[in-house]
Amino acid sequence: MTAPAPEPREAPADAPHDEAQALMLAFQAGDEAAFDRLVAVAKADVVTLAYRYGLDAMSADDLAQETFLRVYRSRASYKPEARFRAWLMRIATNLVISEARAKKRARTISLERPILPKAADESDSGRSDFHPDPRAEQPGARLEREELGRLVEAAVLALPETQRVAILLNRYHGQSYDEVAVALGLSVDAVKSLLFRARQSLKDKLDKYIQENE
Amino acid sequence: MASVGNSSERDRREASICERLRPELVAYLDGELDAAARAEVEAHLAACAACRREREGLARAGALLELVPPAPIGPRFEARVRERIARAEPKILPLRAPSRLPRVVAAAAIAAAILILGTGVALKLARVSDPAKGPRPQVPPIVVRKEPQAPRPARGRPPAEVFQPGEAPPEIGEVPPEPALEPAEEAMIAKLHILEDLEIAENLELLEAYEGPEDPTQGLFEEGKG
Repeated sequence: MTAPAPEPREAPADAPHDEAQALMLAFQAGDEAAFDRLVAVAKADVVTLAYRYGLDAMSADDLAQETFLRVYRSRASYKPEARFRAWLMRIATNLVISEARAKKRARTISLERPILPKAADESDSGRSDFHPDPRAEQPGARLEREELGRLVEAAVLALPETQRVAILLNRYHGQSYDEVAVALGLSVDAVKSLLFRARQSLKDKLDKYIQENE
Repeated sequence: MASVGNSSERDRREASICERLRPELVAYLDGELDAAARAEVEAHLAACAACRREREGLARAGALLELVPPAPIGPRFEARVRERIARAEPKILPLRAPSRLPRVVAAAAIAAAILILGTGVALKLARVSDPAKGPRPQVPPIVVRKEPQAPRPARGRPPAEVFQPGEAPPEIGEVPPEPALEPAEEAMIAKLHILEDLEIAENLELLEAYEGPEDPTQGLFEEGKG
């Protein structure tokens, strides 16, 4: 058995985390300009969380601004023992869930894709024994990257609320299971179960688009 | 028959292990298992093709998550955050540390104003309450100048009113009595009244003959027509 390759993570390296934390501490000590730099460093995290959770672009932008207003007001309560990123995401997560529940402004993307790649047995040749040339472009690769991304996004948006937040925090914001558990007020075992079910659901929904990659 | 029974028992045992360990597969892929749990999962994967397929599918689904398009971020985001903070907390000066200089200047100005006002009031009170206390300071008289006016009959008043320092001003609402007119003054005023009446009469005649001005709006909208 070969060891599984480490999965790619979108979360940035530690350097930006440390920079954000240092800026937060400087702001906490009274450096107002550090707050502006902090917003510049961390804004993408918050906007992305809100947008990928399902808010439309305008609502995600507005929610991110509100998040930083909360950070500004709550600067005294931040403790450097906690990673700034996890603290920030906890504030943002609470706002995102409240916003989505209250205003129902979530984006909806259909999982039904009008332009689907034809599987091997559906090709124009009509031959049931048709086998694609392994050197040719694979069906999964024939999907345009953006189009497949939209399908994945739709599958994420279709997840139950808690699973969606858990997978967003873990996969897109580099939060450990412990940090996701703190953000959602759950046990680590519950987070483990949530993430498994979320990933399994995505696998089931997206499998028909990617099975040719095997 | 016994071998069939053993096989069935082994399958049930394997299925039980699969059921217990599959929920661990995502945590295994995420590197969130401790060493013992990781070793157990790896041992099971080595023996179970179905769980290996499950692991591969879960890993592919995880990789696909990276394809989700990035979120659009509106322009001037930082500036808009500052504006929001300024609206929510208007006392906070944005973008730079507040300077202490304006506060110092304002405090000095207020202190000076209080000092001047307080001194003036104290002096005034001292004079009003006890005029016998010591000599009054030598202050030149305050002259209230009047605008030059057309010559008018003399009424016995000086051309300018002079108040000496310390002189009590007239009470509000108190009207000084008019001085009595001389007979010549009364005759002059009577003549002026006659002249005024004549002027009014002449103006009335002119007014009656007046036909009114031309309509100022006439022609203004003519150009737009047609």
